Order: sequence, then C-alpha cells, then structure tokens
Amino acid sequence: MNNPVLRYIAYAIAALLLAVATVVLVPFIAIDGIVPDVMLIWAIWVALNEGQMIGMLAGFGAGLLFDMVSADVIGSNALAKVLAVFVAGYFYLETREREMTGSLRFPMITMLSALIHNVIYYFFYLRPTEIDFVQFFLRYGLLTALYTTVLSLIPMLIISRQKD
Amino acid sequence: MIRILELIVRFKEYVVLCVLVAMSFLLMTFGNAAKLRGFRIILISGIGFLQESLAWLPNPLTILSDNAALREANYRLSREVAHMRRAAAENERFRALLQFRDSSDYAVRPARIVGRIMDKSRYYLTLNAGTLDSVFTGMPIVNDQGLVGFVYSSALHHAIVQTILDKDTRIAAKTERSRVNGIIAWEGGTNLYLTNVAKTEDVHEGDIVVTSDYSSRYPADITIGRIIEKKDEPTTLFWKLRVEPAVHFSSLEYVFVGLQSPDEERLLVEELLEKRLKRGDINKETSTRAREAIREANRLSREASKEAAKEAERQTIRDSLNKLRQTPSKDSSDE
Repeated sequence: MNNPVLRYIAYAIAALLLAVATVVLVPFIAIDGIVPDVMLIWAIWVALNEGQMIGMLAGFGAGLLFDMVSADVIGSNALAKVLAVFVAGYFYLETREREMTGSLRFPMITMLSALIHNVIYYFFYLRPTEIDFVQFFLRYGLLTALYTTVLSLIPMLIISRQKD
Repeated sequence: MIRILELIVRFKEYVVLCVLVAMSFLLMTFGNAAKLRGFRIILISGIGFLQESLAWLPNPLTILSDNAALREANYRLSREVAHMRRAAAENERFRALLQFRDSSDYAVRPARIVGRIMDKSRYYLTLNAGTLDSVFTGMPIVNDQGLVGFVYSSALHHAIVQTILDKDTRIAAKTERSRVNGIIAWEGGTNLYLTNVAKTEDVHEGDIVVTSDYSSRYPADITIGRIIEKKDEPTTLFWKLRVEPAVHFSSLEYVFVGLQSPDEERLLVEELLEKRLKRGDINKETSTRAREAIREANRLSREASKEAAKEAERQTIRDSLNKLRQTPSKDSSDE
C-alpha cells in the first residue's frame, strides 16, 4: 500500500482486531497462565515498517488501552510499550522494511523489546507489593517474552513466504 | 526560533519519546481511575458482549482437566451430601433449642461466567450479570467450593471479577481447626500463602483456611483453601504456609454473587491507613512529635536551670546583704 493514509487505516483496523483477539482468543492459547503480548508484536511491526516515531505512538495507544481495561496504574503499560518500541525502532531501515520483518531479525527484535517491556512493566506492577521482583520476573517476565517471541514467528513466516 | 524548530525536527523521535514518557508519568501520578469509570464501563460492556457471543467455543486445553475435576467433585459431593444432611438436621435442632439466629446467612445471586481475561499475571472473569441484576462493585463472589474473588467493576449487564489469584489479594483469614489468624496473599502461580502466622501457632498441613471475621470485604467462614505445605524458614519468626485454593479456577462456569456490599467507610479508613503506613507518614509524624517533645523538654530544663541559677544568685545577694546589715550594727554596739 503506497498511500500512507490507507496504510494507517489498515494499522488501526489491525489493532482493533488484535485487541478483540487478545480479549477473546488469547486465553485459549494460555500455557499455565502465560499469555503472549499480541499488541506489543503489532507495535513493533508498525515501528519496523513506519519508523520509530509512528511506532512509539502506536505503542502508547495500545498500552493506554490495556491500562484502561486492567486494574494497573494508568500509564504503566503505556510507558513500557513506548520504551520497548523506541528500542525496536532503532532497527527500522527505510526501503528495507520487509528484510527486517521477513527474517529471523524480527523475532530477535521482539524478544529484546519484550524483555525491556516486561522489566519496566513489572517494576511498576510489583512496586507497591512485597513480592520479590527477580523471582517474579524470571517466572512471568521471561516466559511471557519467550511466548511473545514464538508468536512473532507467524507474521515473520508470512512475510518471508511473500518475499520468496 | 528557527534554529529551535530545526532542532526539534532533527531530533523529533527523541522529542516524541520525551513527550510520551512525560505523559505516561503524568498519568501514573495524576491519572484518576474514578474519572475513567464511564470509559471503563463501555469497554467492559464491549468485552462482555464479545465474550458472551463467543462463549460457545470450547477450550480443548481445559476439557480434559474439567472432566477429571468434575468426576472428582461428583464423588466428593455425593459423600458430603449424606454427611451434610445429618449435620443440617442436627444444626436445625440446636438452633431451635437455642433460638439462635444464623447471622452469617446472606442473599446470593447465581451468575454465569461468559469470559476470562488474562492480562500478564492477572486473572479476571466476566459475569453475565451487572448493575441491573443488583451486582455492584465490591460484592464477594463464591461458589460451592469456596471463595472466588470480588466484583472489580460492574456495567449494566456484565461485571468483571478480580479473582483471589492476584497480587493485590490481602484477605484476613483463619484456620478452621485452631482459629489461628493470618493474611492470605498471592505470590504467583496457582497457590496462595497464609502469611503472618507465628511459629508458635498451632497449624498443620491439611488445615482448612477460611475467611475471618476481621475481613472487611468478605463474609466470615467462607472456605479459601487447604494448607498443603508448611515450611520453616530460619530467617523469620513466621511459618511459610502454602495454601491450595478450594476453587478450581480452570473449570469455573457458574458462581454466586454475595448480594452484600462491603462497608465502604471501613474500606476507606483501612485503605487510608495502609497508604499512610506505606508512605511512612505515621512514623514520620511520630518521630516529628518525639523531636518536638525532646526540644520542648530541653528548653524547659534550660529555663529551669537558668531560673535556679538566678534564684541561687538572688539568695547569695540576699545573704550578703543580711550579713552586711548585721555587721555595722555589731561594730556600732562594740564601739
């Protein structure tokens, strides 16, 4: 899609569908309470296709939506997603977007961003409690990041097949 | 001005990052959840509608465990029914004899679970009952097995339940056998922990844990779970008691909403105290008062010693004057 307006509309529709899928379908693929962060994959995808700035705005929007639904401190999810996507945005290469999203670099970037996201998110999540951060992060943060990375292989494989 | 604009355009990514981070921190500091209530209600209604319309989808991962849990529950319940019948008859007789009114009875309303929301390590349930069915925020949620959680938020036709498997869980609880009080908390995973139980207390593995009378949110004597592990940690004075919840959260389909809202005033007062304790205001206040008292005592003692010194000086002068008065009269008498 060459028209940027149409492209942004497509991103918005994709975000809406993914948000619905997160609420309705993600519990079906939960493994021992661990669920992947689909919206983070979407925000990273936007950052790798449109650049750091648009990606950060997408991450902020997705994070804020989650803050509204959950009982977390409003803004904590948004902050974590903005910073995670900011890091992912460094890997944006203009005119070579498909090279990034259609190769193994995409899941690697997702892993890095998911780890950054979870460190920030769980820091604010556990701050008012006495739960040990390191133990909790190793149990939930790492596994969630790993599951998110595994799920990011799906869009990577689709793009890689299209490239071929 | 043009140079500033050029700089902003050149480093626009960093400017946007700073703005978004600042906005996030502002939301975290000043973001009032109460102001977003309307927006949240719309979201919850939407989520509830979506989940209800897709509730027919079977979850293959839980079907096997559901069946096993149901069979086990069926066997256990059939044994318990006979026992309960005897106990109920006996109970009725005693009540009639003592003209004792059962104060723990409270009205309940059945509700169906139409969806589950898993967000990181939080676990919510969506009910097909809302404010139109007299289901309001804060009401306890139970089932035949025990305590499930409480209504976190309620819309017209749907309500979101925050289960006890949540990091914010703090429930005043006691063991059914020895009536030892403690606090139920969650630290991740599928089990809970009974905390603040001293090593001198009489608790055993297998003891049933129920809600205590001190609980501000839940009625007393609702089963929470069973102690499955009692660990002696040498560094603390308390037992580490792992509690298996009585409720099988993976196979939950129907629950009961306890139609009694918690005492808002009590909750507010306890919440305020907790916040102040966390901030350390009370300790600060106490130490400030203590410092002021010490300062005041020092001032008074300094004044007292000054007064005493002055008084001693005055006395010395008075004595000297008396001596002087007496001395010339003696001399004159001698002359």
